[in-house]
Amino acid sequence: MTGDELWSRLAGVGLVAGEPPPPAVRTPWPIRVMLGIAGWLAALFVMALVLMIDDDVYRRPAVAFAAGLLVCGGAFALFRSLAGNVFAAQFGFALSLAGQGLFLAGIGKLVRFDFDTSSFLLLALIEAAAAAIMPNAIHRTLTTYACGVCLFLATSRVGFPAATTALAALGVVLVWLVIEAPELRREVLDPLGYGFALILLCADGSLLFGPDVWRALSPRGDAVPAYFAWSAAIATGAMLLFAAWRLTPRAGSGLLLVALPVAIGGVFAPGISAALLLVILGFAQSSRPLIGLGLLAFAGFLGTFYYQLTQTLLIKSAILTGTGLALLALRRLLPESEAPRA
Amino acid sequence: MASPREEILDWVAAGRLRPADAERALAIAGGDPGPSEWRAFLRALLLWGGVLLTAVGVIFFFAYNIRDFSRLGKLGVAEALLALACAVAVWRGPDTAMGRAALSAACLFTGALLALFGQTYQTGADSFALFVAWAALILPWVWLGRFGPLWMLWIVLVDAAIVTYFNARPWGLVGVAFGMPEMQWIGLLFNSAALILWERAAWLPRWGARVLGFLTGGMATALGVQAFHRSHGIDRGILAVYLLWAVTTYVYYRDRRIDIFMLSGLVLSGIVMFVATFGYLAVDYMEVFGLFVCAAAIIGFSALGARWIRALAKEQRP
Repeated sequence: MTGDELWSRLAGVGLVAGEPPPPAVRTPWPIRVMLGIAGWLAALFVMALVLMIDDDVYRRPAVAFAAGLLVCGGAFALFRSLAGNVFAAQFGFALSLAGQGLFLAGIGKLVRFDFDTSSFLLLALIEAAAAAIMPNAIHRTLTTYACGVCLFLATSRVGFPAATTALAALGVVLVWLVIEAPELRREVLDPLGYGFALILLCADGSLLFGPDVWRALSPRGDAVPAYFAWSAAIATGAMLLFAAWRLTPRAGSGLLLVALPVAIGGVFAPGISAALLLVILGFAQSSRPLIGLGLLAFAGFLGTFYYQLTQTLLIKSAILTGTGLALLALRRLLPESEAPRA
Repeated sequence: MASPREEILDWVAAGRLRPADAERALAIAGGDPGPSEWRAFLRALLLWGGVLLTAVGVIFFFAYNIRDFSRLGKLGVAEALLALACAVAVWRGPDTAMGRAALSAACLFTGALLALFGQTYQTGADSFALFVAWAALILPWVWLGRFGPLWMLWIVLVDAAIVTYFNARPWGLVGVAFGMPEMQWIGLLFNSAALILWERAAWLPRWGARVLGFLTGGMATALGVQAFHRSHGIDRGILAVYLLWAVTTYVYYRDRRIDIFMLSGLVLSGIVMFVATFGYLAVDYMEVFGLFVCAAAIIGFSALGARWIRALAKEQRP
């Protein structure tokens, strides 16, 4: 069905009126990724430029703080006044990242940043504010992710990084499933949602940070209490079950058949619950990048799980084989022709 | 072309459709997956999730190396699983979902069997030999299966053989990007050949071409950057290869088959090359002004590139 045909159909039932609007300018995700990486590179040069012009700026916290705020304000003005202009957006993006660098350098000196929980919490708050305020989709994804990394570091310092995983899983479900605001979907919810998805995958050990990183960051030194690691997996599994339950009216009860064994297996094999959560939410939202991210996380987790030192290979084998066989057995309960319950 | 869902969200964002009506509009447009699509999706998820988790679990089991389990027992179990997977693949046929899943499991079990063989008899073969043997043994099944993910598995095995042959440091993609030039040369040649063949086979899925495009682009760029940082000056040979890759990518994905992913990668590669070459020189010779030029150029190139690719994507719409 073409856009014009769809418009006519909606006009026929009185949902829209008048001529169909011209096709909107969209930025597909590969272009967004390219713009994001390039903007980040440009920001590095801008920060180096500031440093070369006045190499003392980073040593004078008040100046760095004020200059950073000013530069971020300029970026905000650019985003607002020239929305839709790709040059302005890219310039604003680089400017904002550089401004944040200056601002953080300034505030870091002012509050005597000490790589402790409160310092990382402050950084997380600043990044969260940037994600909320700056009206740019790529910027929102990147700052949401940066906020998650800071939160992960903050919670790791008190030995409870699972809190970040749980928050990320909650954020993913809220943004991709619970909040129904189609007018915010394109510019606010989707970018935040990708940011939350990236945090979830990094914090639960699928892509970047896993139990071994938790152990390294933990102030207790040698070992992270098992229940801390488990609580992250339990929270993600709970979010998976909640999402499956919410989607049951659309997807049928078969979705719970998939979610239940994965949520149980995921308690011992953290990573599979998060991956499946993203895959089913991506399918529900017709978002190919989200499905792709989930599949990538699934493959990434299976690769890294082998090297994780939390359990023996025999236990890992039992968990994976048990979950896999359960899924294969449950497939028999889902015949091709049965209609889902409404 | 945009999906009905995207169209509806665009109209809501433009104020042409009330947000409260969006759900009804999506239902009329069929923008969200319906019951039959969900059912097919869940069946596929149960099958593939089940097969992959089971197969990987079996590999972990043999890797654990239980001492109380006799040699014959271990090899017997591995071979029995392999035979079972083959039997299911033959029974259901390689054109069915179950047949393909069983064939994929057979390919994974082959690797487990080879690893177990090496572990049991201490053959002394290194990882490189394992990956080569694995890829060679499953090639006939991959060929007969005519299934994109199986071909991708085979390509990954060959890539793993290349990386392990050169004993790359275990840093994943970073290790490959900063690894030995010989490894990157061979990797670039192999993945480029695979990409060309993948593009010629119309039945293979697009995502595979993009994975290969990512690999070849990454290796070509890593080599290209090195061309400017040789102790004896610019390496013209490497530069020529990079330019050949860039021009071929541009011509094919601009004129023959417009592909936004590949073209975005090409633009990003160009920006990285710019930073590694001109950026390096500009900062050296022009200092502050050089940094300004670099930042401005990166912003300009990326924005121009985005505008160009978006225009191409628009051209592509019917």
